[in-house]
Amino acid sequence: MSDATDRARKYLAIAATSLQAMEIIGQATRGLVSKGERATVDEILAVLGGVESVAAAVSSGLAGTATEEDIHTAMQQLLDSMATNNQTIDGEIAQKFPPSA
Amino acid sequence: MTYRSPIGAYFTAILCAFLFVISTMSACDKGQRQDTLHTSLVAVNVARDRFITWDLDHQRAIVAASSSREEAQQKIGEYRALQSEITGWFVTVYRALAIAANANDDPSFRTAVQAATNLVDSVKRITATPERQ
Repeated sequence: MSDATDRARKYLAIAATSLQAMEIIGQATRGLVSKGERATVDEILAVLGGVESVAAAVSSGLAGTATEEDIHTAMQQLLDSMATNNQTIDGEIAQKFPPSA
Repeated sequence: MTYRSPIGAYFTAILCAFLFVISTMSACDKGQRQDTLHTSLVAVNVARDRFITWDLDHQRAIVAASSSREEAQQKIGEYRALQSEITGWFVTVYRALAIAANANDDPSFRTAVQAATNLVDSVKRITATPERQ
C-alpha cells in the first residue's frame, strides 16, 4: 500500500467515531437494521437527544424537501464519478498491460 | 353598548407584539439552521469534487508505478477498498445532513455539521499528497 493510501487510512480513522453512529442511523433510514439492531439505533438516538424529531425524520423516510433533493443529487454525483474513475483506470491498465494472447 | 377597557386592549396589543417577536425569532433560527446546513453541504460538495480529482490522479500514479498487470491490479484493488470506505463516509455525511435538514433539534444539527466538518478536514489532508502537488 502506498504512503498516500496509508496516510488516507490514518486520517479517516480520526473521523470514524462520530460517523459510525451516523452510519447506523443511515442504515435505519433505509430499513436495513434488524429488531436487535433497532435497539442500538434507539440507544444512539437517545444519546443524541431530540429522539422524537430525529426518529420522526427517520421514519418519514426523509421525504420531500428541496434540500434533501440537493443532497441526494450530490451523493449520486459522487457515486457516478467513482464508477467513472474506476472504469477509466481499468481501461488504462488494459492499455498499458495488454493481456498476453 | 358594551364598554371595552383600554387596559385590556393595551395588554392584547402587548401579547400580539410578544407573539410576533417570538415567531420571528423562531423563523430566524430556522433560517439560520438551514443556512448553516446549506453551507455544510456546499463544503462537503467541494471536498467531494476535490476527492474525485485526487482519486483519478492517485489511481493513475499507482498504475504508473506498477511494472506488471498483476501488480497494478493488486495495488489498485487495495486502494479501492479505501476508496470504498471514503465513499461510505461521504454517503454517511450526506445522510446526516438530510436528517438534520428534515429534523428540528439541536443534536441532529450539531452532529451533521460536526461530521461534515470532520470529513472536509480529513479529505483536505488525504488529498494533500504528491499526486496533487
